[in-house]
Amino acid sequence: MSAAIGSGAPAGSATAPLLSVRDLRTEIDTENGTVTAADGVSFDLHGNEVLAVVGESGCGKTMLALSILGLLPRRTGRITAGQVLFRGEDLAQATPERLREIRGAEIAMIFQDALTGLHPLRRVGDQIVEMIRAHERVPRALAKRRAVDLLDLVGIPAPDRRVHSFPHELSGGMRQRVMIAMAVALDPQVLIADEPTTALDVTVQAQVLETLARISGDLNGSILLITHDFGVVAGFADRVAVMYAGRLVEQGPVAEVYRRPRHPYTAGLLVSMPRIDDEPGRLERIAGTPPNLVSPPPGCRFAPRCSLAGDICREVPPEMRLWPPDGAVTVACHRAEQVGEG
Amino acid sequence: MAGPPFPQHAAAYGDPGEGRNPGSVPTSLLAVEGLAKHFSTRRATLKAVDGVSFTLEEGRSLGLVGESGCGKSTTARLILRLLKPTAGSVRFRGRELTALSQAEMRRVRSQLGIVFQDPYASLNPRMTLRNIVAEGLRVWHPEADLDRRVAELLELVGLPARFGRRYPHELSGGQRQRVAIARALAPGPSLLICDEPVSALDVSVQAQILNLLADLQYELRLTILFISHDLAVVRHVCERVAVMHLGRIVEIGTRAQVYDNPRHPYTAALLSAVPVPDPARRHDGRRVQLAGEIPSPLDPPSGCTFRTRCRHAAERCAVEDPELALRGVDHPVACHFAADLPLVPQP
Repeated sequence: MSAAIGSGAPAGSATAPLLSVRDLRTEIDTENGTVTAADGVSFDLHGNEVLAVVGESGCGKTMLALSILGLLPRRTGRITAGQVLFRGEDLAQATPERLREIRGAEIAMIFQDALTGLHPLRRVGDQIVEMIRAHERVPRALAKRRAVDLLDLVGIPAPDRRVHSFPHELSGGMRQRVMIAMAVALDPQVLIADEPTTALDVTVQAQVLETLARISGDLNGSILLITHDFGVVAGFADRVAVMYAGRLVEQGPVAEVYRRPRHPYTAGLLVSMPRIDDEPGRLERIAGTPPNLVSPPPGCRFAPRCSLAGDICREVPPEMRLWPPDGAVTVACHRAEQVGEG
Repeated sequence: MAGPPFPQHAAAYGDPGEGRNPGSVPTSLLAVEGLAKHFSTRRATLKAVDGVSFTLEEGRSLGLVGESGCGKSTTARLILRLLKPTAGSVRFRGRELTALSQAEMRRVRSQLGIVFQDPYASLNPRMTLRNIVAEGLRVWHPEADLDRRVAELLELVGLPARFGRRYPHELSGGQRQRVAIARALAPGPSLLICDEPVSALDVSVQAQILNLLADLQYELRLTILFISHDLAVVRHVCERVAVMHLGRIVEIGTRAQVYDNPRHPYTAALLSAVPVPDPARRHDGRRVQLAGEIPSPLDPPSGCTFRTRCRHAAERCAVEDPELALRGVDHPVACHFAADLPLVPQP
């Protein structure tokens, strides 16, 4: 892993963030009613850093990623409040044309399932060429040469032959590398990776993560990693934002958050994970299941599952605050002071 | 979040007793010997399972781990006779299952429970939970007593009896998996086969189901064959572990033997690739990078099928197929150099 990835930008860095999401609210219409997939979400992504948004299925992390890129389902999804500031420009207000210019060229995305991201009937080389030529005026032959270089960059053996392959001729790990190659083709400043290795076997997952880390280091890019896997976050991200039921509940440097989680949900998740490096046996567990986002609980959304919850937790949604006040971690919990005590 | 504290069952997680002879067939609940399943197409033969042997003692748990396509789920289906083996034997309580007729097999199946990965696909959406669970009971249980028994089973898996009136779509993923477990336990099986039972569940719910399985194993003296791609999960559930690669077991032993002292390079690589939720471990250099891709099972390498990705591979590996054997270490390994390889000790 490169030094650029490891170092990261401190949370209170003086430089302006590359991407700044402010009080974002995203609504999605579902069969059961309107769901607030992101509810007052704020975070900054600085240059040269990897920020992980981690949460369980249905917590809204994917919709958050799609909101940033203006890729919400057209009829059923919309941003109803907040800003997505990319180098000062509010993408939440941008026209579809402007968003199309930005997508791929400045902010690129890698999805979980490479098969759905690739055209099944076109050779992977042609798809990369097309992607380059949609944004830049370059001759086809030159774009083709860049495609070969890109496949080489992501560690695909015999790239000059592989450009002629169809997606189905490649393994899952290879396809995900092709997706990475396409994503970095135009040298974007921000790479949004939504569960990039979840569909892969564990040995292949390790290879793809190494590739992603190496490339983002080489290209001086920032990564917004969307994942459910705390293990992947620990090995890869500089900062982490924990999402629960549409809201961020804790945010800070990875080492800090893992060493001493301040939110009961983060703390509960970290101890309930079966690990390969602890004493095997009974697992701690979080009772219950995440709330229904059509009608979430009024106060803290984690309160119904939380052993520390009191009346205030059930009534008043907690604000994000620094805890401890001189630290680098923000947490949305009325009882953060008690987490991990006794 | 309260609830009665769970008893600590030493037997459910403890060490399975040292020096257990892997060949002690007479006491085994399940003994699998040379099990194989080959699928033939016009062009090639896929050896999905290719000579798998292991034994499982009553009341114990064995984990079958490996990456996708290694044959672990096919092995489960062969044991249950949901697939017909190409070769080999499956003895359950000493009785050969591969030779049984369909009718005989149906009777034996009440002894073999199975829980599948996807609780969304494995429960009939048009049936109430009561009927889903009762289905497994009906053949074996007097009709008049069904409701009481269903209520008992639901409570056993941590669901209120009134849930019997509900339909699967009203439940969360974790609750559905509890129903699937209740259904599997309904006929009173002694062997429970779990095929990736928590892979579709969120982390916070996974732990609930894994703890439930541990409790059930203890309370009902269940024998568990646990199939998973997740090494961390298997480590928490199983006393013994078998690692599969391209249709074969490459290493088998107690949890401590396999996880603390892996002797097959593939096991070592798998273990090192598991992401550890500890940022301090990021640069500790434990990761064994595997070169290349999992070979195609339609065209496996000669000799040892792992050699193309193995950094310790020698000439001998290309010509001589290593059998699963003791090879001077304390548990069976299918590697010519099991005793000598400097594999990184795992945490």
